[in-house]
Amino acid sequence: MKHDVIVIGAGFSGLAAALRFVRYRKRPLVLEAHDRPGGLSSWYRRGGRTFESGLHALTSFAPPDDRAAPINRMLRQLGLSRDLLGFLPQSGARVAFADGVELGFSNDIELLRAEIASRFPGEADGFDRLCAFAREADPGRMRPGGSAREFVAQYIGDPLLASMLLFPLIVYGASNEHDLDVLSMLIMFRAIYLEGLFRPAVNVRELLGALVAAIEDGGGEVRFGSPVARVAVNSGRVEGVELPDGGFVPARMVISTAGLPVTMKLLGRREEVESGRISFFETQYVLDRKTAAALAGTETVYFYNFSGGSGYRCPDGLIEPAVGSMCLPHRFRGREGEEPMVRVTNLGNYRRWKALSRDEYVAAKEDASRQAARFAERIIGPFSDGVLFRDAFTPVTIERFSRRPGGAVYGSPEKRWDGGLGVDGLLLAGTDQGLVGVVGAMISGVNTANRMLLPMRLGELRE
Amino acid sequence: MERDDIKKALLEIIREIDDELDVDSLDEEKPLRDQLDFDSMDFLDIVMALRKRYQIQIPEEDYPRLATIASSIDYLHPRLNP
Repeated sequence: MKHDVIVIGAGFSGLAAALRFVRYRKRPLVLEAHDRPGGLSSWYRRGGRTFESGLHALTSFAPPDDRAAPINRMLRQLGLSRDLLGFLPQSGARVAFADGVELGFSNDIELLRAEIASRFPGEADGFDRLCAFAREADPGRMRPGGSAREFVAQYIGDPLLASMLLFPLIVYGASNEHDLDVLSMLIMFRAIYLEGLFRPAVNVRELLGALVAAIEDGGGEVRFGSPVARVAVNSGRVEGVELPDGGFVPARMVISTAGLPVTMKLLGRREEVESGRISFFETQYVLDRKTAAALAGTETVYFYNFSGGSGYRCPDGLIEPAVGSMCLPHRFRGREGEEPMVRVTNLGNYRRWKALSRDEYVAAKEDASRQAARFAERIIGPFSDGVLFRDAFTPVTIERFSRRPGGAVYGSPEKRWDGGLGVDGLLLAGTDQGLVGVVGAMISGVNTANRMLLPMRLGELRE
Repeated sequence: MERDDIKKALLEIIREIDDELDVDSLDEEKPLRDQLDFDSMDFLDIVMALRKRYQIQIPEEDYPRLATIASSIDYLHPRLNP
């Protein structure tokens, strides 16, 4: 067979899986439906500028000498140097709730601890115990299931503080409304609070380009504009994939990063899998330097919920402007010279956007971007008059380019933590394996490749 | 092959797997897994490299004997000096 493994999807999880195979001299074939890599974390060009469409920040920051840190371990397993990424840490982050209640955090957990001690006296001990648990927990040995809200309540008595602590973790990765799985919560708690946020020195386009180049240099192949029509299974074993033109690519192993609902369809299975109701509307405002310099605050990332409730749900209207996250990419350390920009991300209702006519859709985007700015301006001060260029994408845009039904950025609420689908030689990687974000996706890709490579290599050693 | 040569070869193999590592800092008596943060895949790399270099077949049930540098030398010494 020409290919040792077929990887469906050239997002971060698929590319990481393929690169892991290449490291062991195996030949992966990556099939990507879109004309570019990235999936849920990609880029687009508009008005002469490159915009990133995925996460605002990467999680799991670690210094170079912390060898056991998940991100360093993952890079090592892929044979990638830390210099490829470049680690530009956040200047800080802030969680803002109604009535002016705020909490700051940074890549040093002491800041968050001090904020809690001063604003929620009596909760610092519980927070310390929660940190200790998250630090020592080994997610690889834990079982999913259970509410993060109920779990955190065992440590944090004040429901407002518990909600504020959970909010960034939910916004950055919950496929359910209102809550997330305890296991996801612990992974995110560690990745965001104990390790921290950063961004690469290169843009996402360059980063993806480097991953594709490393796969191709190592003898793998990445095909763009190449969707998969069907995953062929015979007697419980995967045999390859069928292409829309009827072509067939045989392979003993297939990794699908297309998400659980789509993968079930590719298998021709009838069972309904919920595709997820969490999607986003995002506006990117490019600012003139004078306006940017006059903005309030120094933080890179803000998480806000002025709704009064949990806030995290599919909104009734097109968007929920009072709940969101905001990133100022020029505030990452070392990016101060970049053109200033504000990215504002709010929850969006896919069905409502989908129901609009073309003209209504264009007008609704304008209106939603204006509403979104109003709440963002509550935090960083006025910027609407200093916008040089503005662009927005909706849940419908996300669906079109990522092929996630409903634009469900964090995938289906139903996760397959072990990647298993009941078919020999087939594993699911990526978002629906329960790991989210660029770093989570890459770790998922590496782990999935390892599960296939271990038996292969043991077999070779026996020969 | 002397014990020192075997140690040198092992350290070379380990350095090939992780070129950022300071192999001189390794403790011979402590499990490699803890010191190197190696996973099962890295461990198989060592086994494969030994096979390539010395045409030595190490059965799976003997893998635990390669846990530390010292135990690896004890295991490999008689096999490389038949």
